[in-house]
Order: sequence, then C-alpha cells, then structure tokens
Amino acid sequence: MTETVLEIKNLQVEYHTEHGDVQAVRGINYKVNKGETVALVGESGCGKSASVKPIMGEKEANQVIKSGEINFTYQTENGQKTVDLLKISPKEVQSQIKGKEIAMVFQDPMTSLDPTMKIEKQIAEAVKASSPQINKEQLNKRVLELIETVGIQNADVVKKQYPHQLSGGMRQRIVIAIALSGNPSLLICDEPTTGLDVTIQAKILNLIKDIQKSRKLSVIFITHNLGVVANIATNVNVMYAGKIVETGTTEDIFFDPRHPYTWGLLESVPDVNEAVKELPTIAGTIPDLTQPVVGDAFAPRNKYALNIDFKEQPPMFEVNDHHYAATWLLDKRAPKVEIPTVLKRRIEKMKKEAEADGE
Amino acid sequence: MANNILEVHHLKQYFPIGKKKVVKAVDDVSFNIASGETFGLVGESGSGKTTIGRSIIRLYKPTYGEVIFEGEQIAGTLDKKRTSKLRKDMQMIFQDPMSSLNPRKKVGDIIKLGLDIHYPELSKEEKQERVLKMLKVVGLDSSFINRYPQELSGGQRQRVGIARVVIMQPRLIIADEAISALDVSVQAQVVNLLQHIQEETGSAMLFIAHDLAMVKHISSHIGVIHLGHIVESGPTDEIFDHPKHPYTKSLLTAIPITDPIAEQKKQLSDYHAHRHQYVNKTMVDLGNGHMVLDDGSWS
Ligand SMILES: Nc1ncnc2c1ncn2[C@@H]1O[C@H](COP(=O)(O)OP(=O)(O)O)[C@@H](O)[C@H]1O
Ligand SMILES: Nc1ncnc2c1ncn2[C@@H]1O[C@H](COP(=O)(O)OP(=O)(O)O)[C@@H](O)[C@H]1O
Ligand SMILES: [Mg+2]
Ligand SMILES: [Mg+2]
Repeated sequence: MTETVLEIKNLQVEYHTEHGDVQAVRGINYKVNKGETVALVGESGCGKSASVKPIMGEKEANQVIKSGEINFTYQTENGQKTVDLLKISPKEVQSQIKGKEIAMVFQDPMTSLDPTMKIEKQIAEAVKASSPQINKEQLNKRVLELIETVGIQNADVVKKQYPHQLSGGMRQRIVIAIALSGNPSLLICDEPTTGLDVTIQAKILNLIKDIQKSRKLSVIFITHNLGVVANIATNVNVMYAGKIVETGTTEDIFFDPRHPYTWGLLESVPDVNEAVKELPTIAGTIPDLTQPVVGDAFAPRNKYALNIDFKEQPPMFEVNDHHYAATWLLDKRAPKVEIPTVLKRRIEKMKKEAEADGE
Repeated sequence: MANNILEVHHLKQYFPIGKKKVVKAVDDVSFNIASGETFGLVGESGSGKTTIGRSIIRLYKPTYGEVIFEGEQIAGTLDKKRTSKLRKDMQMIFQDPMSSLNPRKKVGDIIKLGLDIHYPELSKEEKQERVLKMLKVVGLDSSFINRYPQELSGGQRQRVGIARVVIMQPRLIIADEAISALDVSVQAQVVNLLQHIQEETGSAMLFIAHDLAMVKHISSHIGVIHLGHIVESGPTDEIFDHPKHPYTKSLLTAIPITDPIAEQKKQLSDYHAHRHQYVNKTMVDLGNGHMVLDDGSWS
C-alpha cells in the first residue's frame, strides 16, 4: 500500500521586490509517498527552491504564501498524524517537525556548517536538538555512528577537524550526517551535488540512495541535471516558470516525455554515445515572473506552440494514471506532433539496451 | 609540426609555500593544439587545470618547460613584442563571468576594451561597428551596449565574457570552466557559439571542464589530468571508447547519463593514487596518438 507522506496542494508563493511581485511558484500540486524520491527539475529560476522552502517553514522577509496546503503525515507516540505545515505555528514546526521529521541538505555545505566549530560538536548539537535528554556517552556514540553512516571511514580523525579542513565532498557528507541526526522521515535535498566533481557526485548519490533504502526515507531531490534525476529519482516533476509542466515516474519522463519543455531539457544534455554536429538548445530564456503570464509560460520558447498556447493555460492532460503533462499538444483536437528525432533515436536505443540486458 | 598553434612541453608550475614546502600544482605536462582544434582538459578539482591555463597565458611564470605559441617561445622572460602578441592573440574566458566583468563599466565598453588597448589605429566608428557585430554574434541585441553586468543573467554575462574575448580574434582561446555555472540549455547555446566562432576564425581552444559529456562534444583531443600529471591523452573517441588508465575509467563511469535503467545499474569504479606514483614516469604510445602514463596502475 502506498502511504502518502507529503501532499502539496495549489501552493502559490510570491516575492515582493521593488520591480514588482515575483510569482515564483504559481500553484503546484504533488505528492510524495513513503520511500519515494521525487525529483524537481528545471532551469534555474523556475521556482524549485521557492517551492520547498515553505515545507521547512523557511520564511524570507519578502516571501508571501498566497495560497495552498502542505499536508504532512508522520508517526507520533499516539499514532499517525497529519498536519498542514502552513497552518501550524512556527513554534510547532520548530519543536515537532524541523530536523526531527523533515531535514534539508543544501548545495553549498558551508552555508549549513559553522566554520568555527569542530565537526563532532556540530553533529552533537544537532543530536541534542532532537534528543535533549541524551547522556554524554550515548551522545558520543551517536556522533560516531552518524559519521560512519555517511561513509566516512576515519571518523575519529574527521570528528576533530573544522569544516575548512575537509574537501567539498566530505563536507557534504557531514551535512547529510547532521540532517540524519534527528531520524527524519522526509529529506529535502536542494542541489546537493551541484558543483562537486563527477566522481564525488556519484558517491554522494549512492550514499543518499543507500540511506534512503535502509531508513525507508522519502526524499525530495532538486537538481537541474537530468542525468542525476535518472540516477536517483523514482518520480519526476518537471518545473517551468513556477508550475509543474510534466509529472510521472522516472520511466514515464525518460522513455515517454510529452511536454516540449521536457524534450528541450533532455535534448540539450549531450549524448556521450552519439555525436551530433550541433547541440539542440532551448531558444530564449525563462519569462519575467513579475509580469502576468498569459497562456502557457513556455509558449514563446516552444517551436511546437499552438495558437491556444499563447492564450490559455493548458490543464494537466492525463497520459496514464501516473503520467500527466500540461501541454495543448495532448488535447484531442491538437495536430499530431512527433517527438524530436534525436530524442526519439536516443529513447529507442535505451529501450533496446534495456531489453537486451533484461534477457 | 607547422600547424600547431600551441605546444606545451614538460610544463611544471610549482608554488613555494612557507619556507621549505612547494605545491607541485602542474608537474611535467605536455600537449599540443592545432589550428581550429579544441583540446579538452578534464580532471577533478585541484588537479591543476586552472594553473595550466594561467601558466600558458603567463599569469604565472612557468617553473620549467616550454610553451610555444605560434612558433614563439613564451615560457621564459618575455620581451615587449612577445608580451604584446600574447595579450592580443591569446584570450581567456573565466568560469565566473561576474568577477571578471567590471561592474562600473557598460557592456559596450567592456567588449571594446581590448580594441582600445591593442588596436589604437582603429577609428571610433570602426570599433563601435565591431562591438555591435560581436553582440550579434553572441546573440545579444544592440540595447545591451548600455547595460551594466549586474543587470544581466548568468548566461548573458557569459556571452559578454565571450564577446570580449572573441572581438580580439585570438589565435588561442582558453575557456576555464566557462560553462560550468550555466543551465544545460544555456550551456548548449554557448558551446554552439564557441564552435561557430572557431569554424569561422580557425582559432585553437583549450577547453577546461569537469563535465565530460560536454567535453566529448566539443573536443577533438582530450587530456585527463590527475594530481598535476596528465595520465592519459589522445583523440576524443579513442579515450572514450578505449580508456586505459584507471583514473580515466573512474571519471567516465561517473558521468550521469539520461538513461534511468543504465544509471541504476551502474557500477562505479573506485580509484586512488598517490602523487609519487606519477613522478618520473613516461607516457606510452598505444597508437593513433593515444598516450597513457606508465605508472604501473594498468597493463
Ligand atoms: N528572496 C527572493 N526575493 C526575490 N525574488 C526571489 C527570491 N528568491 C527567489 N526569487 C525569485 O523567484 C524565482 C524562483 O527562484 P528559485 O525558487 O530560487 O528558483 P530555482 O531554485 O528553480 O533556481 C526566480 O525568479 C527568483 O529570482
Ligand atoms: N597560487 C597558488 N599558490 C599555491 N598553491 C596553488 C596556487 N594555485 C593553485 N594552487 C594549488 O595547486 C593545485 C591545483 O589547483 P588548480 O590549478 O586551481 O586546480 P583545478 O583548476 O584543476 O581545480 C591545488 O592544490 C591548488 O591548491
Ligand atoms: Mg534553487
Ligand atoms: Mg579550476
């Protein structure tokens, strides 16, 4: 049975600025089930970070939550409980949820670490925050355990060091250890491997997957790298200009993408197995979100756009009961449009390889 | 060879730190880049990529070795003529366009600066005309002339960074992680742009990056660098199809690809090495220009 851990309904987030109100998140809906990794993917400025900050109760001075619900379900001593994270008090978020039930890992580990404090102290503080009664001996044991959980072998040495003495990959491991200190049920990762070397990135992704399996964690994973999505996600939400434009299982999105924006993102990743003379690109840039969006926000960059795309926001059309896309191309009346040939070839090749391996 | 724009022979770049210690950031590195070709330099952070770029363009004075740029030795003490050639004909695009663009100058003036210094004979109108043409080449409209860098997006700034370099019609472009900070969609645009410019001008390029998929697309030849040493080099397809050195293999298997089934089955190949393992070793030629460091880690 699938248990829903998080359900976001019609979330709208704006930022007040001197140039106008930025409509960073324009009504998004999705669920995260237990044990799933849901990826949020899209170009920078699409509202990925803005859409997860309210889950952690992170409030910036100019942030306004215009509407929505964030229903979070977790286990308490008295059984299962569901709360709307936007309705409960900041105090409740702080004492019940943050760090204990939901934890977050950011792109730059230095923003979450204190440069003046030794690693063991930082992890210990985090452990104490979620279990204030813990005694000294248990605390030390727990700190060592956490350092080992994130794949650091010489825990005794590392715990005595300061953040600047560690490499970027090691720092990110420590941040993950801190995130795990309260035994959360939901982990939000915002570009945790962006900027790391590929080999280190691959190891951190494996680490997150291992931890997730052994602890049955649910994960929201933000990235702009579709290769990373393919590696880690079970479900994918493609975001554009503050909206989810396509949602599905990882297989839906990589083997049967339907939204021209998803095509564009997939195409612009060069294929190491097939040379092309010129890389496909997505022309133009994301729109100015202080201006009202009419129709499909992607229409001006979409070479497959229909007239109606410039006038009316497309609804989420159903491809199957777990795959939806907001493009008028899926309307019954729309002309038949083929997926770009380069992408089509790539997908056919992937399917063949998968079949050959499956035998 | 006559058509090599750049030849680097046994380049070493050491940095003294403290009284007795030295950091051997680049240790005996050799490669050539021919006219119109792109040499991709890949390796983990701290492996010496940026230092190589900075030594070649003479932001550092090489500790040892030869750097031959269009037939001129530029590793040693530079006379006026060579300095001027270097500043004119070799240009570098940096990773962070913001830190390399003067925030108090308008985009038009930033792009024009090189002409002001190195082409004083050009009239004001001619310079203006070239700036406008350059903006068009990099896909920005003429209104950008009067904008300031901080009013631009990351992708737009990187285009300004490229325009400023290309307007000089350099013989060698050094692109140091020039696209790393950009979105994939924008990366593809910038890479296409660089390739068009190269086709038109025949300039050579040293393309430094850690995204191997992009490096594969743009480079004709690749050098894999680890701990200040090139451990493997050769034609791009050779390296990708028949990697020999375990470090190269570990890099190649780590590239995330847009195939969920392959990604989920992927086995990483782990590799560790010590600096001394690479010292005083020679490159072995495997044929077709495919070279690999003979350090005992493969056979
Ligand atoms: N604190 C803020 N003040 C004003 N605008 C903001 C703020 N944070 C984000 N934005 C704007 O909101 C939009 C979405 O940003 P963000 O969620 O950070 O994008 P992503 O994480 O997808 O790169 C962008 O247009 C961004 O400029
Ligand atoms: N000016 C310098 N002084 C001392 N050490 C340096 C200097 N520049 C670079 N290094 C060291 O040299 C090595 C290579 O650095 P770098 O060329 O920046 O690597 P990459 O560009 O591959 O990440 C690193 O260990 C770095 O700390
Ligand atoms: Mg973000
Ligand atoms: Mg560098």
